[in-house]
Amino acid sequence: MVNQQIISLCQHGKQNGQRQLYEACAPYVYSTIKRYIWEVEDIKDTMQEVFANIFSHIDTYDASKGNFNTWIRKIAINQALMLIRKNKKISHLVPLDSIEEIPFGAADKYENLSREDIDKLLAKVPEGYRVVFTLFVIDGYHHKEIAALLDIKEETSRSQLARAKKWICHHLFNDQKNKAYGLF
Amino acid sequence: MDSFDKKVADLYNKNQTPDQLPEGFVWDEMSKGIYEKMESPNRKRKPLFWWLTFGGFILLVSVPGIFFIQKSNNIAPNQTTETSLPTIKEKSTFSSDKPIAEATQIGKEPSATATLQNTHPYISNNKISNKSIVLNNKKTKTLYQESKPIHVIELRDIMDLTTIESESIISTSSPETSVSGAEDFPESVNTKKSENTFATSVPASTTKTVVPSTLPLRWVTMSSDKIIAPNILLPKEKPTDTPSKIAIKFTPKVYGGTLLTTGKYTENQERNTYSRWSPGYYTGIDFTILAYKKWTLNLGYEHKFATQVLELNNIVDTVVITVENALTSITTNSLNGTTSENRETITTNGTRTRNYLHYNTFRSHALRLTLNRTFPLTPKWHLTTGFGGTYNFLNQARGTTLDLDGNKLEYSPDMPIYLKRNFAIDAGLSLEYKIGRIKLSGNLWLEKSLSFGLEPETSIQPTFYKIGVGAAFTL
Repeated sequence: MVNQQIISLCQHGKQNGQRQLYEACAPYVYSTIKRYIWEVEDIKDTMQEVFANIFSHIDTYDASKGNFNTWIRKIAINQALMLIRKNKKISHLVPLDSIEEIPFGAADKYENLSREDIDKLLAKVPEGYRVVFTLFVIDGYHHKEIAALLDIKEETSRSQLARAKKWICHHLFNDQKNKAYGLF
Repeated sequence: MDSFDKKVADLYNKNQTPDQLPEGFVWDEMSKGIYEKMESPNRKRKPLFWWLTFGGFILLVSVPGIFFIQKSNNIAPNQTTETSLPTIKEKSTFSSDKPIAEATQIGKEPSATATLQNTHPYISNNKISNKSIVLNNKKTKTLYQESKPIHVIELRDIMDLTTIESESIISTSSPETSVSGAEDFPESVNTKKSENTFATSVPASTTKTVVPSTLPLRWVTMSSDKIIAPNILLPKEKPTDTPSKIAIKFTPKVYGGTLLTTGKYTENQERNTYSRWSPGYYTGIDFTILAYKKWTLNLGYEHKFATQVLELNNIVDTVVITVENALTSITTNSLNGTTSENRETITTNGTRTRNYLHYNTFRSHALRLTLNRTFPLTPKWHLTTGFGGTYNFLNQARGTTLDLDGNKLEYSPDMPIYLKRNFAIDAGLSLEYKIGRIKLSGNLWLEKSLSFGLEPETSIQPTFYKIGVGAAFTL
């Protein structure tokens, strides 16, 4: 846990404080980034960027606006999205007319769902889906925020989420009717 | 947020300890990178694969191009001096109505009719006899200049000589033909056995090889077999298509045509029953970058487009049917005859049958490297076979959203799915027709892909049959 003393040391540019902050927050930052980026080298690079940003801008952290973990999580997510945007075009995604709900009868099937199951699926899911799904479902962003982060329309964010959930449900529950989905 | 979302959010956010840091993420190893990034926050990031791929491609294409351009600039002034003068002599026609003895009477009759056109200053100083010496750079054979009463030396300018090709003609046709200039440089005229076309009634078995008298001796000499001249006048060997050493070339070729695709899913074979390919197209440009004898190495870019039709009929969905205010019973009072209706909301499971018809598109952007061997059939027609590899570096699939009833399905038609990159093996042949520097070709190529797909169960190894035409231009 990061206390005010560590933050204060970092604000004064003390390397000892930066080390303590890194050791306290690195697992959390790593977990956050790993939801968006899968390549180890990219994760490493992004983590370095995140902590470089944290150390450079820790003066601007205002405890009254939220806890420290929330602040660094935002930085981590922004940095991860920056890398994704750089590697892939997300802005070409287009809206859907309707949103697919979870398949009928599926609700009782995810009672035993584990985080590993989701992790495995997220490793396979197309990147555009994964980013929106993770932002919305796991990190609790709203579509308006996602649209701003990814520079897409709000409807596009909704449609991406719908496709992501459809994709995940298809693979979780092997829904027969979804077999025609997509190519390859 | 529905219950599924809540379940997933809880899995990640409630009572979950963060992941353990893997090796290489400890402070001692990360701190250097962090401080470097703090010092140069706007530094350029490491090159991405995309840029590496295209950078390498552009480099491979541009270096030979620049090399060629520089080389061609250097040789441009002499580029027309490509045909060797010996060939002029070898295929030249000498004709005369007079015996050789007369024909060799040099300069006996000064000419009043001799014409010299566009004469170079060097030439104008030389004597021109009234004997006909016609030197053309015609590319079609004209063996006998019989119709010309006046003997003309057509030397449009000094450089004309340099464009003489193997079918040029040197002929004399006057009844009083003689060759002038020999007085000035008698050693330049030899009598020899001629293998040339002989279009006159000259009985002698020997004839003259004629050299334009206008050329100063220091430029032109004649031996029994060859006419030798300095490079400035005389053509050099023309570059051939079959260099004896490995040569850097830059021959772009654009091509395109119809793409026929076959391929079956191996893991999930059920998909094969409702998947079929329809014809697409391919187009590309490639560059001959190296040549050795009849072998060439080509590097190029290719774009492929194909359509895969997914068709499923009689898909049965289970749906919940709710009927509100449904009449469930009618009660009749037997005493007074009044009836009352019982209505309620009924919920039941039902089925819905649907048909899917998806036209899904597939696009691929690829780099091709092929080794080709040319077999000349005739001077104009060549057959080229090739073998090589294709690296499909960007593969994209899109699904459309119409069902048989024309209704839009629930997902986007335009959102592409990026498939993994893959390699393919290429083999094929081209029949080429050469027109000057342009080669037109009909192409038949086969590309066997190693693997496409997002995951094993939907991966496929399509074979692409490419039937098309192309045009290459040798710079």
